[in-house]
Amino acid sequence: MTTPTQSQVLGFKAVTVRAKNESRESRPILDAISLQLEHGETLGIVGGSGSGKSTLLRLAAGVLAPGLVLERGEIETVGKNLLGASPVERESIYGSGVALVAQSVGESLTPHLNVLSHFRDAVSGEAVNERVLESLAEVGLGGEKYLHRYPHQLSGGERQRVLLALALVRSPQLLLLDEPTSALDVSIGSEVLTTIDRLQRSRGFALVCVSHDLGVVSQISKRIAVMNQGRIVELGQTSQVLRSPSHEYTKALVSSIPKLDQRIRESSSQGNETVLVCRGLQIVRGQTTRAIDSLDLEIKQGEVVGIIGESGSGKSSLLAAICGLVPISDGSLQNGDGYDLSTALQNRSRTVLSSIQMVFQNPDDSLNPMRTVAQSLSRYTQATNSEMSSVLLSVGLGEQFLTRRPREMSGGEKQRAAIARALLAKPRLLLLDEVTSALDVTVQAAVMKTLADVQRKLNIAMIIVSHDIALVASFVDRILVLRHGQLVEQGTVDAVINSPSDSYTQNLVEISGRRLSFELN
Amino acid sequence: MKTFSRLGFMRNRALIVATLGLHAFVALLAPYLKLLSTDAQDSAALLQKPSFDHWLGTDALGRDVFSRLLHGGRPSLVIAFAATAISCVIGIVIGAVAALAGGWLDDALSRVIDFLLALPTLILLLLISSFFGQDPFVLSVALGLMYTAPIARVARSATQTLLMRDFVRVARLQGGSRISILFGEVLPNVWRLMFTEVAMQFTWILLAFSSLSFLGLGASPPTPEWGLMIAESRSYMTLNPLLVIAPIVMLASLVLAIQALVDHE
Repeated sequence: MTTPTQSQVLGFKAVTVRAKNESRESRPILDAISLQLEHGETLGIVGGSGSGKSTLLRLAAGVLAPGLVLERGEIETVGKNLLGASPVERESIYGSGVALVAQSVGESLTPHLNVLSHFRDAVSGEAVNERVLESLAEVGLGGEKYLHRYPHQLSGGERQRVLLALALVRSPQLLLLDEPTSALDVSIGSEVLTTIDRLQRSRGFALVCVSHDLGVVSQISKRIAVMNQGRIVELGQTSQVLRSPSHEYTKALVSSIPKLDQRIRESSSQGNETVLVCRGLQIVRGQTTRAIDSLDLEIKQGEVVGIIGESGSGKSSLLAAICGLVPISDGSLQNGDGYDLSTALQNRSRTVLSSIQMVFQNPDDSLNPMRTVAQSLSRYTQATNSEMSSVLLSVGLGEQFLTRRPREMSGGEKQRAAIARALLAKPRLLLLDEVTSALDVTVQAAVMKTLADVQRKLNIAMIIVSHDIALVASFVDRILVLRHGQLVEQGTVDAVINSPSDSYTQNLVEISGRRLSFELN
Repeated sequence: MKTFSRLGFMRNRALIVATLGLHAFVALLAPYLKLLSTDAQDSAALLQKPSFDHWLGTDALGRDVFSRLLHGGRPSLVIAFAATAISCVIGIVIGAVAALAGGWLDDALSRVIDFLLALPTLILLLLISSFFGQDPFVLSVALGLMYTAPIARVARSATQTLLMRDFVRVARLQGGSRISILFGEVLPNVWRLMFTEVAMQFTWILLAFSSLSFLGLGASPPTPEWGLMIAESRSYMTLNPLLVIAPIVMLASLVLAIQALVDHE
């Protein structure tokens, strides 16, 4: 075990990690990483996908993914070299020395074990129940009822809390968190972060938190390391890094975060023509669940409407119903010409079909992996090469992308191609379902900028759905807030953000404001 | 899982590829190698031990075992390739159509698949080959049809997965018909999801045909074929164990190498 006099709990000395079969000239996954963490210190690591932040965190726990090699450098976790340690030695350190909470909240608990059984390895001796109860209460799960619940009986936030309790039950000196809130709704994530912050202050363990979200790490860490392409490009006090970033990448990262009071698209002139009318719309999913309940909505040509809501609010069901992928159960849904949009997709004319297009959330899923971009774009739209090139150009992709396949493109490029494909159908209404939530913040900002340009040029109506209220507020003309299938609030951006009337909206706005006001920390 | 990881050769990619390469080389080029005749009987040299003239000895009719062994994979491989192709074409079409159509057609096709899965394959094959004789064409078709059901089932679920993918939804939103979605979006991708299943089916068909030969209803004598060689020589196993061991090793190494390669992918 560690000697108590030692003040350092984590030390990286010039650590370089490379993929096994790659040449020395290629960019390493971790490039000469050096950092130190003392007892009770908190460090946040931010970076985009592929920046190496997760590899770094796993290394701190003594795990190197298969296919990677440690080329140079030393890593010391609670005074030990965990990579070289024997399995027995490692087991003695896990839990009491260092604890890791992995990213996927859904998969980290064993489905057939109840909460109490999960603690069985970690807590032994007398009064197990009492001690488990105590540590659960500490993470905000008070009451004996939680002991005998199974993972499927817990919500996402509760699961994350159980994982946190499991990690902390043996009082580790160092807690490693991998994207602690990425699977959670904004409001629940915010509560979990508050709990983590409170526990860290009272217990005084050292903390390393990895996230793509600057807002998340800034809430629970005093220092921040910004990673880009395997390097730590900036390391310093949270407030200083955020207030006056010195490295170019950090500057881009900070400025890319959507802010409630900053527009990325100016409101454009709206036509008088209506493109969508729905009255008393009801959508039932499964047997009885009402995904959307008696919703009225009217959208004019060139209008951009944002829909915010957390998971289960019915926002995705609404989009799917508008474009015809999900049947409606009651009410009316019509396009501007009075055409009934409850008609099944295969019975619609091509004109009606192309007038409403949708772009989906997952860039890896939205293009056929076996086809080139040109094939994907022209297969159903019958667009010519020159049409495709000009539309690609308008979404910020060069002509050379026509011959590329999805595996040769980044997430942002794929999403741009998906937007181009939707535009080629010449829609009057474009539905955007969390189109940027799978992208890095800097890429997200660029894609939203492109969408704003496209909207201004073509003056098409858009409905944008997102969990991120700041992103929506910076882009749309009108905001709708959905909760459990009900419309709880709607109005102009100003009205909803500055004077929300519904308590649920107030909460969302407040959290969003808090996440971004790092200066206060 | 643990047992498998201890078997180092199942994870050694170079070894797997080398084994498959050797099998391919032998199967393709056996007739062109300067080997002894597979049929020439030498009544003066029955059941001999390995020697310089006969590297693996001779069988009960005095035929060269080494030469027969190298030729012995060809009939099974030809039939396994043909049968796999037949089962793939029919199975993938049935599975994809069932998933794409949905409704009563899906139900009907699924019940047909269930029915085929419930049939005892080997017994049915024995029946077929005793009725229609040991014609390679009939055997290929019969084996192909027998092994259609598992392929169809996997193709159906692979198609269902694909239909949920966003690029298929976009195709529907842009007015793609069911046929164009089937050929444009589903089939090119189904193949990637099915590779493992198809390769496994290939090895099952290989083994099924060798079993048939062993039972006297696959390849007919004097064709050199591994299953048949085992059947012909098992009475003389004590005199020259290589007669039985060698074809078993060939068959097993081929099947294991294919399965190990699939595991790697």
